Amino acid sequence: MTSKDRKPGNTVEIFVQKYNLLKNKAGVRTNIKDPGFIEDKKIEAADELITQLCEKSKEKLEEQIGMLVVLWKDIQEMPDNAARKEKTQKIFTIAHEIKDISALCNYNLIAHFAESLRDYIDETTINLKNQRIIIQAHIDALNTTFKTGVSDENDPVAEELKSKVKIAIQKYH
Amino acid sequence: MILESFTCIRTKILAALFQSNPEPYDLNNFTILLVEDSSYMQNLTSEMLKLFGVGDILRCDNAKEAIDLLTITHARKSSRHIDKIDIVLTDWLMPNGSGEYLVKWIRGHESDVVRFMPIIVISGYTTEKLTFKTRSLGVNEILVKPVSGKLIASRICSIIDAPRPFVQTKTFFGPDRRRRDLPYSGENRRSQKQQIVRLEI
Repeated sequence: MTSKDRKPGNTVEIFVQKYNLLKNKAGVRTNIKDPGFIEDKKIEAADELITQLCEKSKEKLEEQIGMLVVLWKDIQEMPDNAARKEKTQKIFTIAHEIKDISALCNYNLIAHFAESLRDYIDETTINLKNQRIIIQAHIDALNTTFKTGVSDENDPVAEELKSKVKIAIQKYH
Repeated sequence: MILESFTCIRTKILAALFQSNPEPYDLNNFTILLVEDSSYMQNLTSEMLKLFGVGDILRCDNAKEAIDLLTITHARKSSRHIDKIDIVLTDWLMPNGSGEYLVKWIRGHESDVVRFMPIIVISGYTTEKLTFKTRSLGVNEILVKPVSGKLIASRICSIIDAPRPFVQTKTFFGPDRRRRDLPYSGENRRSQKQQIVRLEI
């Protein structure tokens, strides 16, 4: 019998570990109540890895934004079928990845537009012309942001781009 | 004199045994199941875990792959992995099986080995709604992207330091959502009387 076979009804069942097995596995005696830690040098090495990856992130972002542009161009010429849905899903995944990479490497404005694009695609089917205008506005904003290298969200260029995308959403959504 | 020395040595031994100095964790014996659809983020997180000294990292691209892995290995009683997966680290938003799907599957599994697994969710979404959702599905920890060494380390340590008891009610199964036991002096508004049963696992 597993714990799941018990029918709780109105009962609240609380399962308490006899021993802290993970602590024991981590090489610390279970009777020590104080929290343990991962050594600073290991955390620093992990953060250094992020720094190294971010040094190459521009190339990766360029590649991803390029793929986004090509996919978007293809989708607009395709009928509403399974292949188009697949490509739409791909756009969603790429936007998600662009958001992850740019947020990790402090390209905050790119992260902002990528996140907005991802969320928009998530909630729409991209069948209507209006929806396409909104997607196009996002892709244009991503392209411009990447090319101008603006990362500060308070930069006047950033404000202008954000405002354009916002207007497109308000007008056509 | 001899008795005094003996007492002194005994005190020192006891002090050494119950010392409260924090100790570094050695994760060499740990196996972490990493579920992440983005190959870029999967590689990065995996490399970071290796730098922390995690001995074994199992990588899956989505929830379905992770479920397949858990199912196959669990089906074999002499599984190489199932008893060894110590922590599940999963992305939330993934095509072909989301983090939500995986968490529900794990917490609803018939085997205690699977359903009590500690789960850390990594999410690029930062909404309060998601935090409540993950909590109510039985997630142990949530880690908001962008990731950093410190963030991942803190979530892993939190799981090792103080595993919260698991709670099962009609509508919930997962780690106790109350991290602190604070005294409550207000009116009891719970409509049903609840009996608390403490079970050792």
